[in-house]
Amino acid sequence: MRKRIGVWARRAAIALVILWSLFPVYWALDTSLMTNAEAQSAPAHFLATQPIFSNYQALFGVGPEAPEAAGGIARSIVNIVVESGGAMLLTLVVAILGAYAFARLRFRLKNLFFYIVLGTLTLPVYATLIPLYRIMTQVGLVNTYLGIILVYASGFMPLAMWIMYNVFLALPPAIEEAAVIDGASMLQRFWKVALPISTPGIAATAIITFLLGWGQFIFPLVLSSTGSTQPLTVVLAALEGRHVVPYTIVNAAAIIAIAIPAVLVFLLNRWIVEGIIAGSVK
Amino acid sequence: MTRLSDPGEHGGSVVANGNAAALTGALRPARLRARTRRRLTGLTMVAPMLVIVLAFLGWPLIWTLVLSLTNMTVTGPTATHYQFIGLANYRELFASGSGLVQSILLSLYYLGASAYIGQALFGFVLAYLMLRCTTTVRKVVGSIIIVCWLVPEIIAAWMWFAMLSNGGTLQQGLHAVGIPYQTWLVSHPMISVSVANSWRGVAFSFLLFSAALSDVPAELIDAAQVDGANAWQRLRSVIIPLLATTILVDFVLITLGTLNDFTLIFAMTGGGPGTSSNVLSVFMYQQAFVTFRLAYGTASAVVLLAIGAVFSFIYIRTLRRQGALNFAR
Repeated sequence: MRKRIGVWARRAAIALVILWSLFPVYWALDTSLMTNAEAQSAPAHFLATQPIFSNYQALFGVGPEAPEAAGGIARSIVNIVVESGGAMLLTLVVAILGAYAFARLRFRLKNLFFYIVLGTLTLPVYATLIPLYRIMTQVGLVNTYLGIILVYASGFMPLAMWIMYNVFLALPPAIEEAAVIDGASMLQRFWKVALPISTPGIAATAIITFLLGWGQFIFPLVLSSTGSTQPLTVVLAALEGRHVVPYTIVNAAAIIAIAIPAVLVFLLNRWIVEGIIAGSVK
Repeated sequence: MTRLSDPGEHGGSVVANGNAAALTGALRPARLRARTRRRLTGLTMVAPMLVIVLAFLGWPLIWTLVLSLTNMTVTGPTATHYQFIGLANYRELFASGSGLVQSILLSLYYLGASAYIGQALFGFVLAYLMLRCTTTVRKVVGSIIIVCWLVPEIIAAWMWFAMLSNGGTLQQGLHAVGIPYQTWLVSHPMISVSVANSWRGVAFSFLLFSAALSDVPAELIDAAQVDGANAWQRLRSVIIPLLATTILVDFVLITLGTLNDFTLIFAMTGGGPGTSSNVLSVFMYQQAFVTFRLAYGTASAVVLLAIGAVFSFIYIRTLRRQGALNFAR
């Protein structure tokens, strides 16, 4: 009997956690499917009476309700994809090379370099924000994709290197040793042996860096003053409370900003979890 | 070192550590070239990473330290013609009435309420509860929590702002269960932001603890049970000691994450009302970009860096002890 109470208590607790976690997201989703009049009516509706998709269409400039500012949102979606994707590719290539060298090769000042990179893993990055803005202005990288991608890459590099370093260290040495005995060069060993068997780790690092880029706010805010490079997160924050775009359309844009991480998490859950574990306690 | 490093390297390393110049003549040129190339390969592979990290993190970081010793402002004559004024910014920061002490206390409150209770403790309880659940349940609940964590911070802030502000859903809901009608962001700004940060960040601690808990051998727990230990004793005397390192790593990482957190509080309360939620990171931003005293703002950033450095040091030392950095000797 006591055991059964325990089981039900646990189920109730888990149900509560799910409800608690999903409610704010559900609320935004619900609002994004309403007309503006319905969203503002009191008491609040917990379920859109007649779900509509015109808010999403308006985001992409379709339909009579499409406001001027919607073009800015569509552009910002392109921007966030380019910036997160670009930062992911750059970080991945550079961090993999570095991590492999740290894990497998010997060279001068290796320890020093390793600790320089690892030491920045826990740096409060926005402590560098003030001088960074001045430097980026001086070299003309403000309001450019390249500038944002480089800054993201520098911030994500330590974590990506650290995950990949642990991935390479965990590879069974025998496989690479066998390749060396067969006469493989360093490059072949890296390219044809180590990389292919590290694919899960590489995938995890890729997803995590992409999602890190997706969530950025303060750096792109400071580094882009025009809509040409502002990502979705920055544009959404600017729309909030300004009433230039109906509240329901802003909710639709927020749902898009949530949907990408959500889809990735449900599809690629295992890799994300393994990457996070490898990046923290390994 | 049992791990494979570079084959053929072990023979050569003695030479490299000894008087290399005197011995090079004894090596055949081909072998020497191969070794030099190997050395260069390592440096070349690391170089791009170092350049990016040093240019966009290291260099601004040095400037943060330098600017904190000047009187630079955003506008006015000192924007371009700034002077070194020694430690005056720091003296002002640590003088009474600067607001720094209040900010540090608020940051500690935020740490305690949202990181230690809302994320670590809650994450642990959740991981422990779900230990005996089926894989499917664990995966679904885990995914949902991770999604909350990966919702862009600014969007999470916006959603919670909508729920807690005047006329917001949670305001209505809490009123319905008998809690006096109030605008939570104004009446309890620190509770509001702490709740939002707990909602957001519980996934990280949950994941670490789930992984560590599933590594605890079942026989150990069964043995304790046979010896008559109740659930609480099993947890306290068997499970928690085994999780000591994980707990330490989790605490250090969420401490750093929470101390460095800016966006959530900035977007939800802006540090207000007044200065009642002005945690360190928001304090820094206010000084630099609201009162336009750039240099003074960087000085408070340095204080934050120093606090963060202590925790980073603990983290890296823990990793080393654990043997995760065992090449580095």
